[in-house]
Amino acid sequence: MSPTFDQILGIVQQALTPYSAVLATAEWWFINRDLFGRVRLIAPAAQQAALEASEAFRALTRDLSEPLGAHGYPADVIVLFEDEPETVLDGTTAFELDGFPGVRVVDRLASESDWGHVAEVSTGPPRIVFHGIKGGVGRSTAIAVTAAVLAERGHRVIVVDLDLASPGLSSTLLPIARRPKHGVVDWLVEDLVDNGDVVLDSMVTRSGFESAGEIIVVPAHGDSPGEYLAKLGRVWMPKLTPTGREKWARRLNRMLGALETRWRPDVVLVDSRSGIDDISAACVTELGALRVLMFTTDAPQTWEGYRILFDHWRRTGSVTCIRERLQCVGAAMPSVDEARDFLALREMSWSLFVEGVYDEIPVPSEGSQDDDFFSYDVGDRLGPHFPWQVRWDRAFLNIAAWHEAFGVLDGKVIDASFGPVIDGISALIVEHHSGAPTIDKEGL
Amino acid sequence: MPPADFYDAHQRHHEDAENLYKQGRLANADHLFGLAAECGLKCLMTVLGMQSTNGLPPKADRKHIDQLRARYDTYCNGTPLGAQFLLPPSDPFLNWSVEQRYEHQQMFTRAIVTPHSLGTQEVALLVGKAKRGGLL
Repeated sequence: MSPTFDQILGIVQQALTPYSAVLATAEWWFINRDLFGRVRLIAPAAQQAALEASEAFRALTRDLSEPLGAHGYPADVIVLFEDEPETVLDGTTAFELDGFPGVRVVDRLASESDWGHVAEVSTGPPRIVFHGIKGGVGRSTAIAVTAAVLAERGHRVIVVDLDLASPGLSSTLLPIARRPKHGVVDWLVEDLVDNGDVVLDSMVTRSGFESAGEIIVVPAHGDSPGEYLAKLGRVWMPKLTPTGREKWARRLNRMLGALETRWRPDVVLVDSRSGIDDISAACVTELGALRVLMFTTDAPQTWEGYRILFDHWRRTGSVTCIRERLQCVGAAMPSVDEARDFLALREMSWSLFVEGVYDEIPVPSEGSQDDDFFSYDVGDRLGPHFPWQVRWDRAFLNIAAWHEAFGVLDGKVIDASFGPVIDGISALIVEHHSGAPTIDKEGL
Repeated sequence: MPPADFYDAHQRHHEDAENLYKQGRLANADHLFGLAAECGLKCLMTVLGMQSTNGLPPKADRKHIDQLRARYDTYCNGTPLGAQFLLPPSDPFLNWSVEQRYEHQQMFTRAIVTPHSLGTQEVALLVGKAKRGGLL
């Protein structure tokens, strides 16, 4: 029976094992999984003649081709030769085939999302991404409340609605009369024709919420969505310039940079789309977030979603780039035994982090310290698995328009429900800026 | 008539063009760069949906490289996959003509030929990408 996709790498490892001498003849090799999930080997063109003259190499191609079945190519065409590894990578990321130094796996995907590439932390103000595997867990509410409290404390906060396929955050934060003319989608479309500057100033607005600081809202679309679907279908476009190709996620990054330069916020809160689609990939891995808040309920589908992500990060070797930026958030759910539910959530979160993110700590040897490893005990509040708990409160039920609720809600109620999230982000801002918040209200 | 093999034609024209270019035989190199780029784009157009009949592309697509770019862009715009195969905005082949094969070789300077060499390399990169993507 022909194997299925998930068996490919195991088959390749098994097929290559007897051929370490052949593999040692070249500096690099790629296992290329193409758009259809078929596999080819890519080798340096400089070695082509020598390899093709080698009986061992011909045997390798046969032993690789046959067990891959529908996921392989005939032995005589299963190898491609390329001059440079950079040509093979072509802007994508590759990961090392487990047990085979110098052999990397490269995936060709129909979509440009790349969960395996984690951008460096942005050098501007801290960017905090609010993400969840499932929607409807109070992510947008948490952003709205956090932004309001941070503004009350004197911070200038930019809130960006990147839930482009299900926009709505701006309508909760802004009365209709204050909505700007344009939004994120307009910038992404205009940027394709070098026209982004035309909408940069008209895609933001103040929330109007009276505070020591201010909330600057960047909605997904403007006061009129316009031809939203026609625009949305274009936001994923890469941009071609005389100097190269810029993926849409990089364009998004550039947009945030332009907004930060223009408005100089203390912090940027990003409402990511939930799930593991292209938008969430960009928000979680490509925007250089200082923290990615993973909104979580103790539900099997949520844990399964995070497990998929963690497995991928571990396999592609990118887990070490992102794990210090993750933070579990226990989403608000009605509960009859809050303490018990929190412990259950914490336990599940810890198990998941131990399985996919934390280092395995070996038996201590002389000179080694636990500090050398990224790992936390289940009850360690500093661990990213330890949930920042949002507590459910009926006071937050049926609030559709936060711009009306700000200033009316009891501060103690807000603190009781969102305290850990607000305090956690506050600490990040203070740490980042190493001083008291400053506000310059010029500009808007 | 056997079906056109645009991939093979692209590769052999490109290889010969590069060899001639290195030897300073710019006139014939230039001619082959144009043909290599044309075959490369037609190869990609096939991937993006161009249907040939009796080995020939549709009439609207039977053009040389100096007039082919608009047709290629149309195929790119016709499918989401096309976004992966877009060419840079400027077209370096607008001053290339198949009729130039009759011209005297002194007409072909490096200033004229080098942009055609670079343009063909751009096409070749996309053809390689299609190959690695399993589309060819």
